[in-house]
Order: sequence, then C-alpha cells, then structure tokens
Amino acid sequence: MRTALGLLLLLLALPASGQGARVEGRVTSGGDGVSFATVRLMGGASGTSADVQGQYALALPEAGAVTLAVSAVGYQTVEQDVEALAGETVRLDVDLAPVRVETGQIVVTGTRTAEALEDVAIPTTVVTADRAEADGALRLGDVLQTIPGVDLTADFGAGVQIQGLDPAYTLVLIDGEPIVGRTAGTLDLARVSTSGLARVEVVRGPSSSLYGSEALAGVVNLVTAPPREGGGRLRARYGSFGTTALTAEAEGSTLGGRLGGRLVLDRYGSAGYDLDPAVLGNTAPEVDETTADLRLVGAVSDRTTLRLGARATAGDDRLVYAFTDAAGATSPIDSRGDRLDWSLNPQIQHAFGGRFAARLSGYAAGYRLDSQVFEPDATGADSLTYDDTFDQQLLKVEGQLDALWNARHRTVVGAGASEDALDGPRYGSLAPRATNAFAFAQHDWEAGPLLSLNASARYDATSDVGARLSPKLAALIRPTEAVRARLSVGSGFKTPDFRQRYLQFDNAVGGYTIFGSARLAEGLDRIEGEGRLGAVYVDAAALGAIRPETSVSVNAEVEAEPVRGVRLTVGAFRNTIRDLIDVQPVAEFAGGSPIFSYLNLARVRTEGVTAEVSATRGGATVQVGYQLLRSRDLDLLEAVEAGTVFGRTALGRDVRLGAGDYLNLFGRSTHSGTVRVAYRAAGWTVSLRSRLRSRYGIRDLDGNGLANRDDEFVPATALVDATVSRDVRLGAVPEAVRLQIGVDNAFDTTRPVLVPSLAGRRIYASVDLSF
Amino acid sequence: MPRKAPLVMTRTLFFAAAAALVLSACDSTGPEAEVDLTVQTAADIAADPATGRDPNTGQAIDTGRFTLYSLRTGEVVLGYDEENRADSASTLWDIGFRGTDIIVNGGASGPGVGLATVVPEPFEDVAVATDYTLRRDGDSTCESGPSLAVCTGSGNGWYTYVPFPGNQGGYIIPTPGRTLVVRTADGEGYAKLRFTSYYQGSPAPSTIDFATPGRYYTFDYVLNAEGATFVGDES
Repeated sequence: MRTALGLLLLLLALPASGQGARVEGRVTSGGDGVSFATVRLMGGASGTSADVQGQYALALPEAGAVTLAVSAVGYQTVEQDVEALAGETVRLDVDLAPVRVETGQIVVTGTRTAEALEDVAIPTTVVTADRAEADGALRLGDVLQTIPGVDLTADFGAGVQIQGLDPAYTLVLIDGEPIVGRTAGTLDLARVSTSGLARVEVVRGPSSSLYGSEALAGVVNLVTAPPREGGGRLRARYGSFGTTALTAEAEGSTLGGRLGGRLVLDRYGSAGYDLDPAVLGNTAPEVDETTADLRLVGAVSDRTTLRLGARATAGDDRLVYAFTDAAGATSPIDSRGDRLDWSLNPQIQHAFGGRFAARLSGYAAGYRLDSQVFEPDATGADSLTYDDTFDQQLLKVEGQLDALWNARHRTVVGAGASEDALDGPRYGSLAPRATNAFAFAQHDWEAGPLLSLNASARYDATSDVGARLSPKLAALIRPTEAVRARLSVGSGFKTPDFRQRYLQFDNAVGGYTIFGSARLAEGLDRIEGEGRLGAVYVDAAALGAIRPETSVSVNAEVEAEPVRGVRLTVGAFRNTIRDLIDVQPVAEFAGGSPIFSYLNLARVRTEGVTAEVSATRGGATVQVGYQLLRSRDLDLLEAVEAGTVFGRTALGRDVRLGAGDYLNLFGRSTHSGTVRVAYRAAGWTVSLRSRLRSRYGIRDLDGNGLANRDDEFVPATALVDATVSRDVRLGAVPEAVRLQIGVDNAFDTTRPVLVPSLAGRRIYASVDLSF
Repeated sequence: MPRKAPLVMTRTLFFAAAAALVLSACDSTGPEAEVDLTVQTAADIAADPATGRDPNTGQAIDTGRFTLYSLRTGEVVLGYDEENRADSASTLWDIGFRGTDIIVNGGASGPGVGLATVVPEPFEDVAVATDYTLRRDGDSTCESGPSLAVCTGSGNGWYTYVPFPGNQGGYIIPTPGRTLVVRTADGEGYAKLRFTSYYQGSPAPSTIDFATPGRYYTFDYVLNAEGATFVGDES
C-alpha cells in the first residue's frame, strides 16, 4: 500500500516538474525491519513512512542530488545523500542504530499501549521481577518502597504515597484492571503478593484521562509475566517474626504452542511482632495467607488471542492486644480478620492487519473482609463485641481499539461500563450500588524527530455523583539523542467512595456517629424524630451530594545520558486538589456527642523536585534518588500567612506561626531519598539499599491542625536493607538454584509509639529452584 | 496584695512566673493598686461529663445540663449535677459549660448582660476587652451551629477536634492563640480566658485516648471586675 501511495505521489509529481525521480529501499536495524520509519527529503516537503517490514518508496519532485533523513522512534536519525536521475528509481537501504538511552524496557501503563520506556511522554518507573527478587521483595510494598518519590504510609495497612498524595489517590492495577477493597481509602499493599509478576510499572502524575477515578497521583500497574513454554519454580523463605513464604510456579504450553499457561501458588505467614513486650499482646497481627494466580493465553488464530487471568487471595489476620480502661484495668482484646480478594479477567484481542487492533476485556473482582473482636465478659469468657463485614464487588467491561495510522499518528479509543456494589452492616439495609459509563480517546503524534505529543481525554458518567471530563496533554522533546524532556499537564479526579457517600456508623467505643453525605439528611431526621438531636452546624438540605475531588497537575522531567551508562533525571511536579473530602463534625446529639459527615472542604497542593542518578558499569549498578516535597492545605496555609495560627509550647506559651512553620501535611517528609547499590558477578548478587526520610509530622498535640512542635514529628529515619544471592548451576541449567540471605532494617530502628508499623530488624533466608 | 480565689492554684512554673510578672507590674504602679489582675486558674470544672455509654448507640449518658461558673468569685454557682436550676435565672454566674458548648449570662442564655467573643490573639496580647466586638448569646453570627457568642464546632470557637491516627475518634484540644473575652453578667467587668485542657487532671495531650475522662475544663483567666483593661499599669 505504501508503494502504491508512493507511485501515486510519483504520478502526481511527474506532470508538475516533468523530471522527478524515485527512491526506494528498506529501513532496518541490525537486520530487522524498522516498522513505520519516517523518510523525509531535507529542504523539501516530501516525505513518507515505511511499512511494517521497513519498506519505503519516496517520490522526489526533482531529480539530482538530495539528502534524505530517516528517523524512527527509539533510533538515531540518519541523513543520507543520494543522487537520482530523472525518471529513474534508486535503491537506498538504511540501517538505524538504536538510541543510546534505550533500555529495551517496554511499558504499557502510561499510554495503554506497549511502548519503549524512553518513548513514553508520561513519567514512568519500572521495577522488574529480576530486581525485585534480587532485593528480596515478597509483598507489593517491598517493591514500591525502593522507588524514589514513593513513600509508604501506615493508616489502615501499608499504602502508597506518590508525590505527597494519600494512598486513596493512586490507582493500583493488575494487568490494567483495578484491585478493589480499600479501607478508609488505603489499599493495603501487604495484601498483594509479588509472585508471578514480570514487572511493576509506576506512572507519576494524573492518569484519569485514561483510567478515570482514583488516578490522581498516579497509577501502579502489576504486569504478569507471559507464560513460558515449560518449566517451574519452587521457592521457600524463612525469616524473623516467624515469616514463612512458599511459592510454587508451573508453566507450560500445549496444542503446538497455541495454548500457554502459568499457575502460581503462594503461601505467606507471619507471627507478627511485638515492639513493647512489657505490655500484653502484639504490635502487628499474625497473618496467614494463600494466593493462587492463573494466567492462560491461547492463540485462536494468527490474529486472535484469548487471555484469562484469575487470582484469589484468602487471608486470616489475628491480633491480640491489651485494652486499659480509665480505671487502669487491663483486658485482652482479640481482633480477627478474615478476607478474600479475587479477580477474574477474560480478554480477547484481535489484530486487523498490521495497523488496527481491538481488545475486549471483562473484569470481575471482589474483596470481602469479616472483622470480629472478642473480649472477656464479666465471667471471663470470650464474648463477641464487634462483628462487621465489608463486601465489595466490581463488574466491568471495556473495549479498546488501537489504530496505527502511520509512523507518526496513533489513536487509541475505548469505552466501557462498570458496576460497583458494597454490602455491609455499616451501609444500611439498602446496599449501595453505583454504575459508571465511560469513553476515552488518546492520540499520539510524532511531530518530528524532536517532538512527540500525546493528548488524551476521558469522560465518566456516574449514576450518583455526576459526570466528569478529564483531559491530559503530554509532550516528549528530544533535543539531542541523549536528552529527553517530558512535560505533561492533566486533570485527575476521584469520585467519593461508598464510605463517604453511604456510611452510617455508630461507634459505640468512641461515642460518635458518622453518616455518608447521602445518608446525612435522613439520619439527622431520624435522630431528631427520636428527640436526641442537639445543635446542627450545617444545613444538611443545602449540602446535597458531595462532588468528586478534582486535581490539576503539571509534571516535567529531563532525562539525560551524559556518559554511556550514567543517567540523570531531574523533575518537578505540582498537584492542586480541590474539593478534597474531609470528615467534619456537622451536628451533635442532645448530649453533645458529635455527628460527623463528609464534606468537600479542603484544597491541597503538593509540589516538589526530584532527582535521580543511575550508573551502571560491568556488573555494578548505583542508583540514587531524591525528592524535595512541599505539601500543604491551602486554607491552613492562608491562615498561617495571615498570622492567625499559633502553636502552644510544652510550657503553655502561645506563639504565632509563620509560613516557614508549615511545610507539609502530616506523614510527609520535606526530604526523602533512596540509595541502591547492586553488584552482580560470578553467580553472586549483592544488593544494598537505604531509604531515607527527613522528619515528618505524625500528630497534633497543640490543636492547630499542623505539626510544629518537635514532639509532633517522627525524627529523621534511615533504614538499611541488604541481600546476598548466590546462583548455583545444577546440571546443564546455569541458574537452577538461587540461595539468598537478607536483612531488612539492618540497624533495628524502631519507634514503638509513633510508628508501630516499623518492624525491627528482619533476617531471612530463601532457596529458589528453577527447572 | 492579691486575694486568692478558692479554686485558684498555680499549676506550673510558667504560670507562677506569669503571675509574678503581673504582680511586679502592679507593684511598680504603687502598693495600692485597686484592681487585682492576677492570672488565676480554674481547674477541672466538670461540664456534664458522661457517666457511661449507651451500649447500643455508643452515645454518652449525661444530664444535658450546664455547669454555671462565676468568674467574679471563682466558684461554681450551679453544677450540672444540681437538678434545681433556680440559680440559672440569676446574674450570679458569668459563664456556663456543657460538653464543648460555652454560654455567657445574657441574651438567649440568661438574665444578665454578659457578652463574649473568641479573639485570635494570644492571651498575653489581649489588653483591652472593649477593643473587640463582643456579642450576646442569640445575636451571634456563627457560620454554623447555634447562635452563641462562642461559636460551636471544631476550629470555630475555642477548641480544635484532633482525630486520633486512623480517625478512630479524636480528642479536643484548646486552639492555641485563641482568647475568650467575656463581659461579666453584671456588666461591670471583663475577663479574658485561655483554655488549657478539656480532660480531667489536664493530662499531656499525647497521653489522651478514648478512655480519658473528658468535659473537664481547666483555664487561666484574668478578671478586671471593674473595667475593660487587663494591663496592670493602665488600670
């Protein structure tokens, strides 16, 4: 078709000048055709694209000596002189060298299409399974905490904080589909095993233009490995705090390679830990968990592929701790959680010729948590004092069409619908249910060797919180082959979750009541009808439904490879979130106990600068990452700047605060960094890592809504982890056995009061057999 | 020399030092200072504390009554636990406490001519009560909640509700840099108050949990029974 088009151009050009010529040939790199390479006439307007095999034909309006520029994304541009006589066809084959920053890493998250990491205009970080294993990672949190600019939080489990934003604002996907089951906005990363993954991709910056709600701060995508033709793996690990991990993997193919599959079984157990042995009970719960993950890929024809992903995790958590009442009497509280995570993801993919591909994906997922608390009653016998169920299900169907028009233009369009439902006693007899219909489009334009543009937008129409359009524009600029700049501006949003809309919960222990916004008016009416309502602080009727939280974000980064093997990346970001939903007292009972609800209140801004250096030489790799962060509530910042916010010293003196006293929201460090040094040689791999954080606010002791006193901060922390692995040959297989020993938190840093989630030193050893 | 009200005690070295400063200021103007401007402290004024919780709803079991306090005598006039509320219709009391709600004796709350407002200034910096706009209960322009001179709700009045980590309840901390200015029920004098604790025994905030008995006010105050200034050498 290209040739035909070239001929057509030739025919069109001929009558104009009467003495045109033609150049044809093949663009290759190392012998393989470079699909859709661009061939341009220097100093003229002519140009064409090669086909899938790299074949091209270009009509020249005038014969004579000309210069052609041949370029393709990921390759160094070549300029070649050629001389063509009038009416003749000259053959010119061109071999392109890959650009120097090429790592061969393909990513799929930032643009919903497979692209080389270097060519994506969206800032993306990848951690491969190989690296995660060298670092001794077991759970998703172990992987994410090694990425600069990513911190782990410890509210309702281990959450991911990207660019200083709460875990609720990062979407976590497995093969592009969302993992469900958040508690108070946090998806507990400790629930997710890293077995069976090929890599974890982390996209920074809002991605609602492709993924919709929750993708404000970024997207974490767990990409499973494609099944190999045959083989298996057994891994066993034992470590401190009674940690055991057993993994069995089997993969294979049948029907002449047309059907492949992999099954992973993973068992994880921990006895928990106790940071204060003097007090009855544990700090962290006992965990016993089993995950099964099945991936099947079947080729129906050369063009049609069926995939099935299925995953289930069943886990039990148990924590016995001491409760001390006002009189000083201590009694044991036995808290148990029983959870089931599951997902099912059938997919069909079809390629229409070389340029169009379609994918239809169905997804069903659920998360069920049964929580129970037992306490001794008056006779000393255990009695059930708390019993709660949280049962969320998601059903989703989505279609996507990719069109590769030519080497310069690619379009992705998609549409789908989802239904989210939740059952649980805290949500009343009418289980909340919400539907969402959405459509998205993205266009990639390779404007020239210097510049690529990516524009995307998504429209979400929800059944209960209205509709939302999320646009995003990203640019990749390549001033030289060794330098890449990425700039993106986008909008993100997060729909209020079910808790914020539909919760109705009386906390008998804390003595308060919380209503989701949609349940507030009827709840207050009911309490008033019972004659128990005191003052109402807000006009419930005027509140109506809460709106989605929305953000506008800018991300910029420049990546350069000044010397081969040394890469520098410097970036900056700013996120401004409006309509942040906060829980606030809205009324009180006649007796004064508070009644809370969720309101669109706050405006928050996070901004920062990041820097990364990585150097590789021989088997040695050094990576250093740094983030400078400012994260503030804008209303509180205005009050601080106006001089109406004070701190109270430990001696009781009130001091006026200035702008320099308010740098970050709670849980955010001004400075954070990661260091990783790895060396691989002669079957040995040594990996030494450190995570550093400057002090961060953890509590408000003087009632001003921010951390200003020294005793409101967690001191600066530097944690050091190390692993040593040894690959042993077994028969003909060079890496049949891998032995690993490791230590997390080598210097045994603990903060029992302020950071109970920080376990002490953990030592472990593992054996890994591949066959 | 200053006379001590029955409930007054100097709780910390700081308060003692502050009192000493005021005293020396008084002394410098002459031994016969007419008005006592000592920083006084009222401790653990019970403001309808819960006697238990309803096991079904978790709601506090309480009386719903205010504790009425006289800044002029430094004494509780009528406790929340008194069922005979006859004294509430008098000008004997200046200020009332029930949970986090505070009333002053005037307007919708009592027969007096009391006024009040919360000033965004540190206690020490509030020099003249009449520099601020004081309001009666019932005439106030609170953004939300009942129209009281001391607006209700976290951050609107005298306190901040600080959530416990994970938002499993929270505690009440007096907002720093907020001073409550009150006109006494008789209209003769003014007082400025600084709250220091809402919990029994004024525990350190870091030790407060949901078992700590709340609704016990501890506050420092300066009363000028005959005027609006709180600065010794100008009285």
